[in-house]
Amino acid sequence: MSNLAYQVKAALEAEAERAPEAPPWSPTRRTQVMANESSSRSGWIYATGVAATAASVIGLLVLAVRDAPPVDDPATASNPVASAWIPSGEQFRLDDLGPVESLEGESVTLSALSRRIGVEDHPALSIYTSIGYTGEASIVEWRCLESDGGGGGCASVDLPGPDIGVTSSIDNGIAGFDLWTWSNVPVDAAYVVYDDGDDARWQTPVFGVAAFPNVDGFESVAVAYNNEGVEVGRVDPVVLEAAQQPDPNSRPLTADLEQSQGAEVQELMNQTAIDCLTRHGATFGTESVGQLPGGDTNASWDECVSEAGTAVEEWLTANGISFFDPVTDSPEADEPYIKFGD
Amino acid sequence: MTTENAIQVAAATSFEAFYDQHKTWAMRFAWLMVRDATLAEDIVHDAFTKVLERFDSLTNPSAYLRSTLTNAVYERSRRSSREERRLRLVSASELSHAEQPSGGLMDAISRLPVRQRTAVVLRYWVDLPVAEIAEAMNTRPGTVKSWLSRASTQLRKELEQ
Repeated sequence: MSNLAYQVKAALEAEAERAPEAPPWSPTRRTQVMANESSSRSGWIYATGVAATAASVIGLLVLAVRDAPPVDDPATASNPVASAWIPSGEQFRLDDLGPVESLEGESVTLSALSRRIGVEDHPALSIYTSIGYTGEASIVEWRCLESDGGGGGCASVDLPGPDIGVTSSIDNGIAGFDLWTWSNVPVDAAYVVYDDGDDARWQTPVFGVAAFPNVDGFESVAVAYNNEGVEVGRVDPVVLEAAQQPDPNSRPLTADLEQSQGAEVQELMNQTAIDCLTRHGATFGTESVGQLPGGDTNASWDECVSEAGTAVEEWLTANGISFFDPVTDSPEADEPYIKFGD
Repeated sequence: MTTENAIQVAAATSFEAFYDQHKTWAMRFAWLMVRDATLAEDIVHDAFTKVLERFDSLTNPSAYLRSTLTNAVYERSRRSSREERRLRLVSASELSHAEQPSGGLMDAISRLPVRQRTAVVLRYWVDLPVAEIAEAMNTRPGTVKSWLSRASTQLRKELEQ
């Protein structure tokens, strides 16, 4: 375990000792607390309680209309509407701000595989395709969504289900609301409708991204439609649960790497990709976002991802790196690149 | 007493034993996540209420408790953040419900985004492997690794300052 990990563990253990005692079990505890709170705290608690009650009532109302169509008479696959169709509800607009010009960190991408997205009352988002190494036998090609001001995440481009996220914009102090994001909206989607009933909002996705002020987090319902009003994709708790069922036969093994070796692998991966893309005509300047004028961007990118993957696999083999099951085994490394399972 | 009533009483007794056995751990987890006594109590209550609803059918109530606690933290944190932001406009002085800070590193952990913070607490305080953290947080192991990595980078940066 690293020095930092020891310090974190010690800090958490010390802080846990400061936790107040849990009260005896009572199904009605919340009511009792509200009634017994001192005046100095009751404002916050009461507001929270009212908010909870209001949320419950609203929740019932929303549930009551949840089954209703989220738009006015959407078409069906067998009976598409011939005329131009737009969803009902309020538009929450996203703006295409063009390719990403620079990225924090060392992520490699091409400008044609990236986009800046303007969001009303929220810092802009950046979406880009890149490669990453997460300490396994091979690299990952992923799409990453980041928010100006902090926060973001990446998911494999091969992710079988919807890539859903909720930003921590409130916690990070960058906006008055968190954003619910769907980063791999189907390519034939012209609109995404988020939530339903009177609360429904819609937008035209930008570069495969939809983003709305968060309402229900990972319980949210969103539907993608083509420009004839035919549903072409959907996110709801059932869809997400089905997509998140782990495949017991595909648990990846972890490379037993020291931190310094992991950093070396990452550097090798990125440099191999940059060298390959440069051979294909890309220019990088001081940033890791390459400009590739003309040519087949996707073909060049795919070839260079493959080359970077091969370089990493050869490095792992050449250095005799062993692999272990992170659930059942522990790393041998003194300072493991991936700090878990010990 | 009918058979059905007898089963309900047995289940309730069993649940109360489960509560007594896990309440201190749950309270400490919630406290590490929010560091606010009342909010932590609410989170623990929400989580155990959900466990109670399905207690009879759970094969691993401890694992289910971890998930419900995590979800309750998200829900309560989001709600309290919004309430706090709104009420801050009314009276800043009444909203200092955060407890006394206990130190630099713990404060830095508390400033992490909620999902990174959750992953850190589950990893380093609960000692869960990544696969079980992913299960508790209803996400993929790769995502957990990413959160832990980002959290470590941030904490290291703050310690160096």
